[in-house]
Amino acid sequence: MDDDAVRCTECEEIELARVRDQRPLGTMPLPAEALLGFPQGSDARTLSRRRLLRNGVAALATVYGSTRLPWESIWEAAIAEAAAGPQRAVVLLYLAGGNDGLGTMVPLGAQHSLLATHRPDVHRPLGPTVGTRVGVAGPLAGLSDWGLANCAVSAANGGDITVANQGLDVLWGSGNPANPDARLALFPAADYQPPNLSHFSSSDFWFAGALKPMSTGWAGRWLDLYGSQTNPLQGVSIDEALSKAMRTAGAPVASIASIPSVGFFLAGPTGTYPGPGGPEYAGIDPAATMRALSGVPRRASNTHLDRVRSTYGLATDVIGQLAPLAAAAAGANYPANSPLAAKLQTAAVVLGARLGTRIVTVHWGAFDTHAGQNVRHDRQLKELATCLSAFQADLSARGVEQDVVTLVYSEFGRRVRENASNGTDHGAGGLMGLVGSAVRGGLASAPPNIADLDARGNVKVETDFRSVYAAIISDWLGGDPAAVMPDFASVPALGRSMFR
Amino acid sequence: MSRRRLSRPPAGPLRPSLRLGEAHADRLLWRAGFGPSADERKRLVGRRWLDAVNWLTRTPAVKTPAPPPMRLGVPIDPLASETELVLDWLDRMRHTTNPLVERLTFFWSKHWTISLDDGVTLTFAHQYGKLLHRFADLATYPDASFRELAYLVGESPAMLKYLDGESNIVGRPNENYGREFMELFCLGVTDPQGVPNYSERDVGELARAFSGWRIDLTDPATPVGRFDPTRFDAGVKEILGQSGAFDLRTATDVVLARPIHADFIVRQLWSEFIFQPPAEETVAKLAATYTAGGRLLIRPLVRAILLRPEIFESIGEPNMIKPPVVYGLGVVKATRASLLDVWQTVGLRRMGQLPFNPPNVAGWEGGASWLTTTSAQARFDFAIRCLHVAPAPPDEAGETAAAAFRRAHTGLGRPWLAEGSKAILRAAAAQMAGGTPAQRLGRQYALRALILGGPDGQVM
Repeated sequence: MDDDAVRCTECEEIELARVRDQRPLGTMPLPAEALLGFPQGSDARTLSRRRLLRNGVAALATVYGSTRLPWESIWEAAIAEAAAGPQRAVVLLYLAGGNDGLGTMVPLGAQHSLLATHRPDVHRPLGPTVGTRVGVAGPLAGLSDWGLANCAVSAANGGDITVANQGLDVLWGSGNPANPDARLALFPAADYQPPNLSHFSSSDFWFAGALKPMSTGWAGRWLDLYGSQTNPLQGVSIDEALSKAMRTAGAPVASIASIPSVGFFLAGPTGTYPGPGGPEYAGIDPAATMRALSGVPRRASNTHLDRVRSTYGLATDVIGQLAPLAAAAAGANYPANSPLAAKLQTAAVVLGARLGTRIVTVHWGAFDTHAGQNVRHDRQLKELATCLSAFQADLSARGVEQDVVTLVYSEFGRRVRENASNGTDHGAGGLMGLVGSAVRGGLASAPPNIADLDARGNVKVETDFRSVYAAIISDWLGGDPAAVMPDFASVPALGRSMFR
Repeated sequence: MSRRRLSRPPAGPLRPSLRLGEAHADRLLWRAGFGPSADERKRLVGRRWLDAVNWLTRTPAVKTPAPPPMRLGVPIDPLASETELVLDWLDRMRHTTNPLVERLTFFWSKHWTISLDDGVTLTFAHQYGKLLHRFADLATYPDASFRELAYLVGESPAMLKYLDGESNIVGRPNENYGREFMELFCLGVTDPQGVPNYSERDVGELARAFSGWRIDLTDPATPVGRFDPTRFDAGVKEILGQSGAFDLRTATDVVLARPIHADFIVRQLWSEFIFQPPAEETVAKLAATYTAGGRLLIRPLVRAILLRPEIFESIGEPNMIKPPVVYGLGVVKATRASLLDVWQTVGLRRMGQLPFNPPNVAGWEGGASWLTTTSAQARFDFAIRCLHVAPAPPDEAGETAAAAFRRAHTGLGRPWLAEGSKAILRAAAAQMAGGTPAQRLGRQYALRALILGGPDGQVM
């Protein structure tokens, strides 16, 4: 298919986000108790399957790997990890479709004027947002010539986000790596050479951590080398299927669609379909209605209808019991009706349970903005900024924020010049971000120069994405980047350290 | 006679001359299809039961005119991916003129299990689906027999791969297919009294008779099961008390000649359509229909089961849980949702039944086991999502809560709801705001989701 063709981004998101040839080995129930926190001194013997499940199943995890592990041994491993104390973890948040780096982190000054000539309709004007046209209010702290789109910036800094303490600018703080308030590192124009502008090829490279298709992902290979052979919860894709980044040669990994089961919400805070902009259902408690429906009398001999009604009744009970998990941690303040919020909340529950989870993948978004870019990009960028802020607060409330960093990436950036449909086509050099209390924030690599584009009109790639992976492997998770990523020798290291 | 009257259980004994009311028509369309569309219901209501069953068993499989299934701007290619293989089949289930054909194909795919695991390719599975379809299209193939089906399944690349027939070689027998052939496909482990239907020795001997087959991939697009005499164990076997130099077909005949076979297949097929187990004398009667003339014809048996009065048991209160595929198709039809997206196959997996993906060789356990707290959630989510990809219901300004409920119910084709459930939903409608168009739309979605995805929507 043509690289630059306008396509249905919703379908594409689904296609890109999943691996269809990785077959699961089976499913395992996640006991609510395990996620709420094991009692002190528990071991696998006392936590028999029956006992674990007595208090309800929070969700099902789908397990992948080379060998089928007995359920008990999985929990033995997970409980041992839980008892072993804090372990560092990374969340890989993939923005599907190719996020527009230049519409996210925007040049100011002369570079801005130049960008405006390339993008008369799509660029972000200087100054506050006027009507629906999202501007860029000013430079990021510590920088003179780069700012963020207002839709990702707090009102305190002239942006559009009105929820207190939310916005990428808040995570950015002073932007000074020496200060703990700088919790967001940005890598503009991060990609690889030569750029491949196919969604499928390029996302494969980013997932593989290599400039060639591979049967395993970079996160999966790290788990093969340095992870557990018994605990599938060490690597969790928050999805119905496994991320390509997480594919292993043998080590067990898992996918979890949601925790807890979202409940019979007709539309709700956990981002159930229809999601943002969908209709609201004021004035009805669906759980209460469902409970009433499950209590309707039936004929004595109708055992199937009895099973249905009692199961629906039980489901509403279980959902009620799991309400502590469903509720965001105090102060997290995720945006309502956000699919990303639902995924990150699930990730926070998993990480907060400390079951030995080292890597989490989240795939989200429809960033392939070939047409009508501004409205769609604004909406998603705002959702991203507020969700990332809420996620940090959530991790903090769960006491794990010092141990979790989040890497935000996309398979490429977008063309500097806009196209004829108020959008931009696939380009090189996207924007990566690394978020976390342990991250030394600030500008972490050289910004692009819009006056110096490549032959196709794309920004030149300043940073190889694999150098960021390498920093995570060697300085955060622990391990040898060259053992995880083939052809790594040719990749220059980042110029500075990323972690506190 | 009013429609309301027709949908009530008739007082007297059920006769094939019964004129079908709405409840009876819907029952047949759920059990022998994937739920009623307005057209399908109209076709059956007022017809005699006998004529309806004759129509179902004598109408060929023709897809109603519909645009070819497309995704991402290109036609669906069932050989391109597992998702598309499944979507292609779901599309046929949805658009077929005679739903019994696809429903019976689906039955055979659950009975003669294969799975896309274990080396079974998309090509093998697609070809296998076409083979099974021939034994479900009872108008086009009125003489389709279980015997011939058993021959052809045993020789099919999909089954030769799935149950290792291709590695069953003289001197190195592989018993996988031989064992399941008797245990799962033709006889069952024991008879109703608990007496074993075969011995371990029979398994080994049957495996010898099944040897000699391999998969010819000379043309990768059309794999063929080939008999290779050099791989065949030509010696004398003793199977189920009979001696002979049996091969796949003659050994199949030996197994199918066991009286328990007819009993077994009658019960299997019966439980696809009817909840209550059959009485012994009913099994005997149906077995006699099935074995008449020794040909093990499928059509007379299916027809006789669909004409059993038990199919209308508990007509005022449906008593069988819809299998996920039937439920899912029913929701798609009731909502008129588009049916070409990955999330729909993902939804089937969450509900516990993705075609070509049984949990093991015994297929799906089915029955009450379909409903768990997580699958109930998945069923509800599937309904919600279908509603939101379907055309939105139009706004009715000033609509009362009672009218909103009526419209939600009618808009879905008046699916069965207990009277108690109707009262609860009317009360829920009254609690919901309806002052603005957005609120009225939300009310429609909420009521429709509760009707389709709630408890009453799960039974047929």
